[in-house]
Order: sequence, then C-alpha cells, then structure tokens
Amino acid sequence: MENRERKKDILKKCAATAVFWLLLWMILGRVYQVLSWKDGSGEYLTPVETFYGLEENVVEVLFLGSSHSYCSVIPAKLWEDYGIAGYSLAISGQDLAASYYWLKEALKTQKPKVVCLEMYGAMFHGYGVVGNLYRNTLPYPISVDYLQMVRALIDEESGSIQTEEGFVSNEDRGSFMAKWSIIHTRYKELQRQDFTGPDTSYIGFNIQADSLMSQPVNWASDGQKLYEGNETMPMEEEEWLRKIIELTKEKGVNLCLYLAPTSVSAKNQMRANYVEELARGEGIPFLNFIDLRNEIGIDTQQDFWDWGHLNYSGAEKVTAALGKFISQNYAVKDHRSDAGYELWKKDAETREHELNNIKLQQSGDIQYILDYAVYASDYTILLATNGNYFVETDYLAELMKPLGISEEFANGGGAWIIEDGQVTWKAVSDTGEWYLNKGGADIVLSRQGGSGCIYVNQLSGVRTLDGINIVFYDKILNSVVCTVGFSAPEGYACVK
Amino acid sequence: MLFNSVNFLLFFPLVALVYLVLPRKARCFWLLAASYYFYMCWNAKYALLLLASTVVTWLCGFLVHGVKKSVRRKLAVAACLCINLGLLFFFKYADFFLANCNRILQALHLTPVEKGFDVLLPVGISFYTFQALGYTIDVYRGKVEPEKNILRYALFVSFFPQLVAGPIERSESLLGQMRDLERKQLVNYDKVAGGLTLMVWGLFVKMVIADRVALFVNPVFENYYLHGTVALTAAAVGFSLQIYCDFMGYSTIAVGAARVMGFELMENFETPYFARSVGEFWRRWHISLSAWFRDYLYIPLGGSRHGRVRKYWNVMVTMAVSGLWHGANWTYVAWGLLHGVYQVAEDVTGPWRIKLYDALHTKRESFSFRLAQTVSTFVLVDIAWIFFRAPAISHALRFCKRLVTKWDPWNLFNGSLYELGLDRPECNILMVSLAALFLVDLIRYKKKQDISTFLREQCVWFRWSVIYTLLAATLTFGVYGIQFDSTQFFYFQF
Repeated sequence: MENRERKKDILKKCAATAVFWLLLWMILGRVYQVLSWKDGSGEYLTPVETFYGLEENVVEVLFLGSSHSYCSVIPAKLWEDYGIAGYSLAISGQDLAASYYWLKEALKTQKPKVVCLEMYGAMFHGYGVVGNLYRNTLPYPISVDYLQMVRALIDEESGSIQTEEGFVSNEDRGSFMAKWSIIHTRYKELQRQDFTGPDTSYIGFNIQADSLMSQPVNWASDGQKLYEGNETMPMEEEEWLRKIIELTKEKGVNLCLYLAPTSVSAKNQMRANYVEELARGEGIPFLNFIDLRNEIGIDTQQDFWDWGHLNYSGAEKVTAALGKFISQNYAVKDHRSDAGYELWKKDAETREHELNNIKLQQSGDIQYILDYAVYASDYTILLATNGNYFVETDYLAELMKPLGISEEFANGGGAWIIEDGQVTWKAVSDTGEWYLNKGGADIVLSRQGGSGCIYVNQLSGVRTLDGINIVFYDKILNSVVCTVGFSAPEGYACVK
Repeated sequence: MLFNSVNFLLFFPLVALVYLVLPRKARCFWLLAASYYFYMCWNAKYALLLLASTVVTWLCGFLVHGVKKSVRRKLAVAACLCINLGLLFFFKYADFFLANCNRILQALHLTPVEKGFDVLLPVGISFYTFQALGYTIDVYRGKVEPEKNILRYALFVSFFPQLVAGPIERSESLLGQMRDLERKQLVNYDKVAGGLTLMVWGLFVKMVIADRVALFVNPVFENYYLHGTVALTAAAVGFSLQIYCDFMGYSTIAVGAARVMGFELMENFETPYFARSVGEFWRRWHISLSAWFRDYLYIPLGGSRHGRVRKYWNVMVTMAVSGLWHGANWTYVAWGLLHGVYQVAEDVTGPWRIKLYDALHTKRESFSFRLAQTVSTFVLVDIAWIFFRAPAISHALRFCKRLVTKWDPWNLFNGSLYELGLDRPECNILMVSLAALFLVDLIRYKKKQDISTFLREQCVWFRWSVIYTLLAATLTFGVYGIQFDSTQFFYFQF
C-alpha cells in the first residue's frame, strides 16, 4: 500500500516537473520571440519574418544586396508588369558575406529561377561597415549555418569577432551562438510590431515620403563608361562573391549581378569593371546600370533621393529594365492569376495606397483632400468642425455636396465618419462618440458642445480650433496616414 | 566561472545531474573534482595553494588530536595558523604592508624597499583559509573529530558552491554532512525545487538589482567631485543596496546550489537593513563571518568577560581585523573601526537613552519608534559604506564633506538624476525590482522563511508564476551579455 502511494507520488512529481518545464519553455520562447530582432537593419524594414512565413518554392526572383538593392527594385512593379514573384532579402549594409548566408538560408525553402545580386557590396572593404554581417544576420534562426557564420566571423589573427561596438573576444562566441545575451537589451527599443508581428505585406522597396523626393547628383554624362580600367576587389569580398557563384551553381539557380545607378568614386567604378570581368569569366550576366544609365533613361537631376540611392522614379526605371531582362532570359512565369500569390497581390495594392498616401500628406489643398475623401476607397475618414469654422459659404458648401453633408455643414457643423464616399456615422445637432481600435490605430471622434474632438493614439488629432479637421485611416495599411486641419480665419490654410 | 555566466549554466546542471546518479562511493570524488575544476577556471596555479592549505590543516588536525601534551597541541595549532595566515598575508597583504613600510621609511628619509615580486590575489583565499582554520581550532577544542579521509576533508575546504565567497561553513555542520554523503538519499524533490528557486532568486537580485544599481553608483563615486548632496546621497544609498544585493544574491545562489545537491549551508543574511541597532546589524549581515570572528577572535580575546573597557577594546580589535579581512586598504580598517565605534557608543549610551525615552514617555514598542531605529541604523551603516566603497580615506572624507555641504535639492525634481547612468525606464525597472526585494525580505523578517520555503506553502499557480516572472525578468532586464563589463560578485575580491 505504502509502496503504491510512493509510486503515485513520484509519478505526480514527474508530471508536475514536465508541465513546469513545458510552460517555462513556452513562456521564455514567447519572451525570446518578442525580444528577437525582426530584421537586419533595426528599422522593421527588412522582410525577414514575412520570408519565413512564405510557402515553399513560390519566389521566382530573389534580390539580395545592400540598401542600393532595395532602393532600386520594386517587386510590386515586376508583379504588375510581368506577374513575376520577386522577393527582396536586401538589408541595409548587407555585405557579400551576409548575402552569402542569406542566400544559403533562402535556398532552404525556395528555389528561385534567378538570384539578382546588387554589387554595391563589392565596394566595401572587408566588413566595411563594422558589424554589418553580425547585425544583418541577427534575425537568422539558430541553425548549423548560423553557428558556421559565427565561426566564420572570428578573425583568426585577433581571435575576435567584429560587432557594432568593436571587437568581441573569442570567449564570447558562446553568447553569440545563444543569442539571448545579445538581444536582452532590446527591451529598451521594443515597438508594437515586436509584440504583434509585422503588419504589412512588405516584400521589398519601402515607399516613404523620401522616396518621392529628389536630389540632383553630379555625374559626367557622356553616355560612355565613366571610368575605364580595373581595380581589384578586396580579397574577402571576392572570396564571398565566388562562394555565392559556387552556391548558385551547386543549387542550379541562375545568378544575375547588377549595379544600381549610384554616385561612386572612380576607384569604385573601376572595381565594378573588375566584377564585370569576373562575371564574364564565370558566364554570369552583369548589368552595370551606371553604364546603362542613358539607355534606361536615368535622370541625375530627378531620379535620386540622396547621393547614391535611387528614388521611386529611378527605381521604376531600373525595375523596368531588370524585368525586361529577366523575362527575356529566364523561364519565369506569370503568376497573376495563380493561387498562392496573395502576398504579391496585396503588395501591389499596398504600393498604390502608399503612393496615394504620400501625395495626400504632401498636399495642402482643401479641394484635393475633400475630393480624395469622396472618391477614395479603403479609407475611414474622420471630419469634424471646430469653433468658427464657417466663413466662405458657397465655396465650402459646394465642396461638401458630394458627401451629402453640405446642409449640415452650413447649419452648425458636426462630426462625420466617411467610408467609400458615404457618411456612415455622424453627430450633428447632438453629442456622440465614435471609436476605432484596430491594427496600429486607436482613434476617437467625438462631438461635444458644438465642437469636434479627435484623438489618434491618445494624441490630439485636432490641428485647428477654428476650422475643419480631417483624419484619414487607411484600411489596407491599418494605420492613420494623414492628419490635417484647415484654419477658417486664415482662408482655410492647411495646418499639419 | 561566475555564477551568472553561461559557463556556470552548463557546469552546474552537469555536475548536479552526474552527482545525483553516481554510485554512492564516487560522489565525494566527483564533487571534489568538480570543485577543483571550478576553482581552476580562475587560475589553475592557485589550486596548489588551496591544496596546500587543505593538506596543512588536515595534518594539523591529526597532530592536535593525537598529541596529549597541551604545549605541543598549542604549538601545532600555532604552526598551522602561522602557515595559513602567512600564505594569506603573502598573497593579500604583502603589497599593502610594503607600501606602508615605505611610507614610514620615506618619512624618515630612508630608502624605500623595492618590491621583488608581483602576485595576483587568489580568488576566495580569505574564505577557504578561514574555513580550514575554523576546522583546526574546532579539532583543538574537541568540538569535532579529525577527518580521516583526506578526499572528504578536501571537499569540505573546496566545496564549489561556497568556495570563493562563502558562507564560511563550520566543520561540525558541513563536514558532518559530507560524512553522511554515502548514506543519504540524494534525490529529494522538495530540496531540488527549493534549491533551484533560491538560485533563480539569487540571480534576479544580483543581475537585475545589484548590477543595475552599479550603473549609477560607480560613475557617481568615481566622479564624486562633480556632484552635490542629492546625487551623492543617492549613490551612498545605492551602494548599500548594491553590496547587499550583490553579496546576498551570491550567497543565495550558493545556498541554493548546495541544496540542489542535498547540502544545507548556513544562511549568510537575515534582512540586515531591518536591524534596529548596529549590533543587531552584525547579527544579520554576513553571519558566517561575524560568527567566525565572534567564536575564534572576540571570545578568545576575552569577549565581555573582563570588564567594560576590555570588552570595548575587544570589539574594536575584532571590527578592525574584520575590516582588514575585507581588503588590504586602510579604508576597510576605517570601515571596521567605524562599526566598532558605533557598537561601543550604542553600548555606552544604552542606559542613558532608555532613561531619556522614559522621561519623554516614548512608546518604545510602537511602529514609529521601531521604524526610526531601523532608519537611523541604516543611515549609520550607510555612512560606513562610503569608506568601504571609496578607494582612499581622503576620498571618502571629501565625499562626505560634499554630501553635507553641496546642498542642491532642485536636482531631485529637474530630472538630472536620470542622466547619471540610469534613465527613467531603467529606474522604473529598478524600483519595481526593489519593491519585490522588500516584499521578500519582509516575509523573511516577519515569518522567518526564505523565498523557497514561503513559495512551497503557496498554490502551484502562484509559485510557478513567481518563478516564471523572475526568470523572464532576469533574462530580459538582467545586466549581462556581450561586452558587458561585468561587476563581478563584490565579495570575490576578498
């Protein structure tokens, strides 16, 4: 009897221990997930998490490289023009070593027809930007390849690893491999995305206000090669490039090298010539868009947003040329009507919204914004009047007509919610409150004492106390994309 | 191999698991090998020193026990003390001694003596030397039988959980447990769970509180001349918390690690900052060392048996030696003497104070009175810590002077404190962690239970939630990792 009780007690304790460790594993796993790096640049711009969520063998063209890569190729345009499922794993400062390890990682689940490697990395010297390889591969899951990468990072002479902070001793290699001791400090920089996961369908080229701006770049524009001659690549970089070539051959994947238009020194352009020769020797195409700038119509006054990165207009030109080259030279398919490519369809839709949103943000014209409110779909628009909002009867009443609120507007104002050109909620003569708590937005619209109140993420969205306030919530991007006011005493001047 | 290192995270489970499944006869050898490996991770050469201390005290135990004549027994003990304290002096105090001799020689315009050697302080030397000497004296006094098995005795001296920073164990307790090693049942669910809980709590206290406070305390102490009353007071209070959390955290991990393997070590801390007098503080702070000095120095000096003046002299000598034990610097001696003065003053003024309280009709058992006693004791202890932390006595005195004279209360409100190493979110984490520490200490003070005993009595959801929270908080908010210039456990240097 006693023996049976003892056995029962032991079983109970074993079960409790198992449950304890299982729960601990789950909790710490979740904490790790939140703290871990979601991308390789620290700006939530690299689609690493999205990549790990992809179905197998859906990517047809894989783009790798540094910021010059993701600033020069728009996967959404490739999709719209050719139905090509392109995916960019380019990361800011990605050198050729990091490109190699990302390619290795990508080929575990994808078998692209072509890998397009942007060659600005050939301009780096060794780990040119200290710690890039380390930083770029932080979102890499712990695997044999990751451990090999950490081993490869050790500088044999000094026995140290280069990181952003400098050198790390060989003894800390264990910490690198375990990762936790690197990422635990991230609690200071956690954002909503760390808890909820990425909420965009970003697969390459981030459209920001910057990418519509332009900065002239000074180039000698003679239509010929800017600089002749060769300058050998740094040995480490050449070694990594040859490893990439070897890996693609081994896996039966086509490799296409290209150099995005950029303002680089004579030395670096000669280095590009060396890469071209090396590629030719290996039977690999190399598209040097510095040489091809006139053919593809690059305008040095309009197509850059800073000294070396293309803006949206420049990227459209490079993408068009690359798309043409890829569709003519490789057996890529048009997947626009295929199932399983929702991510690319959503990306194309997102890109259109992003472009429109930037135009909306840049506009200060009340007519443009109210017209947009009438005709735009996939938005929730908040409109509220405040104080002495009404000074130009005819002009404004006319603008409000398509929304069907011109009378209410003229007779005391109000607060309205507009979706697809229709008023879906309003508080005109009475008081009322409307809430939206979705995605990245926590929005409140209320009307009290004849005035409107708008709060966006706990901050006031009212830009003028005497006039009209408007907020655009983008349902596709799940965020507030424009908050604007028009001040009546100043002739409805825009206030942002 | 620090307790909060990845290496220990691999070392300890391996040692404990193998130990728990090994045949009984191999347990002692396994633990001994693990303990020497643990020690050799710091400096392999100094394992010879540990071995020498072990062999000398072990042999001395037999000499003392086997010889009947009192003079020879005393000579044997004296020889053992000389050898062990000689080694301690050579490795720890020779530089200090030489530097002070040279100061005197220079004052007398004589040529200073050149230092002909350079030695590194062997980690934990003060701890294991005292533990081994305690054994010798206990055998001499007939409190314990000499240990015949040298492996078992070597394990007693070198047992890795308490080897480098205590608790300084008594032979009757730890050696007794080691003698039972081959008989006792090892796998005890409650002990393993309790020991692991203590280790988690110790890591939390060390890594989240002590090392975080250090980020504020160190720059302020190092640049004290840039700060006024507010920052210096905060740093002084911060150091009190840092050293408590650092050493208490270490001791808790040590006790926990030993408990996982079925050993019970003595508690080193009993909520010292809740003490209502400095005397009581010393019964709660670093208990194993205080008790060692009480039993092997203060009482042999005469204790309180030869009148008041002699008692006070004994207190002062004991506290000065205790200070010197902590390090070869006059600051430690000053710290010890200050505590001696506090205790003598407490004793001298005791009857007068009672008369004064009675005359003023003070309710001596009221919460407010007890709180006032606790706070005033903390202030006195805190002032002494300034001397302990400062690199020189002159530094400590200037620190105190600025603390009193550079009155700048506006710095409490303008946010400048957040610019001294701990920003607002870090301070918030610290405050929440300190609140948790306060609660755990309060439970210990009121219920006389450590955290593992208290949790064992709670519902499983609460018990597990606390452990999960502590682990997640330590991993997330702990101060550690690549290129982190770790504040080693403070007491390792002693």
